[in-house]
Amino acid sequence: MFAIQSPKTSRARRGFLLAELLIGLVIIAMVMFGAAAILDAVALGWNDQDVTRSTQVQANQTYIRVQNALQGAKYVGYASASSSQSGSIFFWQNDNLGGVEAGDPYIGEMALIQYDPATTTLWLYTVPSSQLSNAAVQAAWTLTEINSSANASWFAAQSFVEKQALGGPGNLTNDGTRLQVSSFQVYVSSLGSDTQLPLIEYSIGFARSDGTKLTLYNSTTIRGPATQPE
Amino acid sequence: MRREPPIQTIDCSSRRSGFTLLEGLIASVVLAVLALGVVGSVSTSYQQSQSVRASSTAVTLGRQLVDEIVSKPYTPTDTLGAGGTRSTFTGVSAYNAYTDNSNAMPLLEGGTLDVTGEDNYVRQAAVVVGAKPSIDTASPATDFAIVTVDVTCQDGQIVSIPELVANYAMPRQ
Repeated sequence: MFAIQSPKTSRARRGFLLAELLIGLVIIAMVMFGAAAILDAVALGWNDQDVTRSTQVQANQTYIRVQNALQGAKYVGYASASSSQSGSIFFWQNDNLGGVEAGDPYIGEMALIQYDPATTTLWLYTVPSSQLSNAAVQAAWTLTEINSSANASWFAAQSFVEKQALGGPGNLTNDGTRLQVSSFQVYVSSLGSDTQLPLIEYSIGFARSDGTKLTLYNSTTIRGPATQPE
Repeated sequence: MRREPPIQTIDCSSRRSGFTLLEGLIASVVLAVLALGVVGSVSTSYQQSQSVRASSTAVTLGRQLVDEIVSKPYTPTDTLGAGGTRSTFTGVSAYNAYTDNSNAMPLLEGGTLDVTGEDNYVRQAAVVVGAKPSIDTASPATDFAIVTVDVTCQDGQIVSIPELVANYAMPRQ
């Protein structure tokens, strides 16, 4: 009982030659290196894309909040020097204290946007509706008073004023994924002009712990009252 | 009577041989082509994402300039594109042919600011007088103008934002 082997068997059963094996290994190694480099580049790209998108989304949220706070303003009071990286702007937010359109800026109608480098946060200070019956907020201010930096600082320090983060970690733990506000510059032009609407120009600088930086530049027009407060 | 078993023929040449070098090379090439195809689609997706981000930034920059322009009065007799710096413009017409770029954005307060980092966006404004709406049969055509701000992104795409302005007293509420 023997199987008759074909004469080809001896050739067919031999393995690769060492040279063939080495060439094969080199080719596979080259392909693997190429694939690894490509996958690495793709992974970096995805990561970069994710960081960029996250940064952009958080920056846009801040920009929309600032825009919403400013564009409804009735008038602008104190604004820090435009060269200041830690800018602030004190403004008459609305004219409806107690449901009455009195035409004068009451303390309860004021708001302040201020950058705090210590918390890397841009804060909005306002009087919440729960405090509008407080006697302290029912005093009217003059134009001179809302133009005072001391009054802006006083306003921010009052217990009836609530502050909320427009951008940055705020009161939350800074876990490194949040976008930090690194600067806020603000400039008000043509305020009090009879022919042009007041324009608030501002830029917000952002920074992430991974070094990602972003600057948002924008402006908003104030459609305030025909007569400025006295 | 005992039967002899059939004689078996083993054709080792066809069953037991491995891949040849040529086959291995062809397989590698096919693999490489497939990998390139996958990477190509990922790269396209990345580029589209970048393009969306660029157009979003361009819209923000364009809207800023349009908003600024329409905050000024439009007077038909003003000279179009009189020149000068942006911070001194007092009317819509002055913005005609105005151009700037985001890496050195001229600020209203004076000076410049790089507002987009490594990407550069070029803004260009045009004021075309005589864009009277057909429903207005009484006003002269020159009482209206179309302001268009074009923002050219780094990748060449252009975002265009038009706005109609009219010769009327600025409402201050």
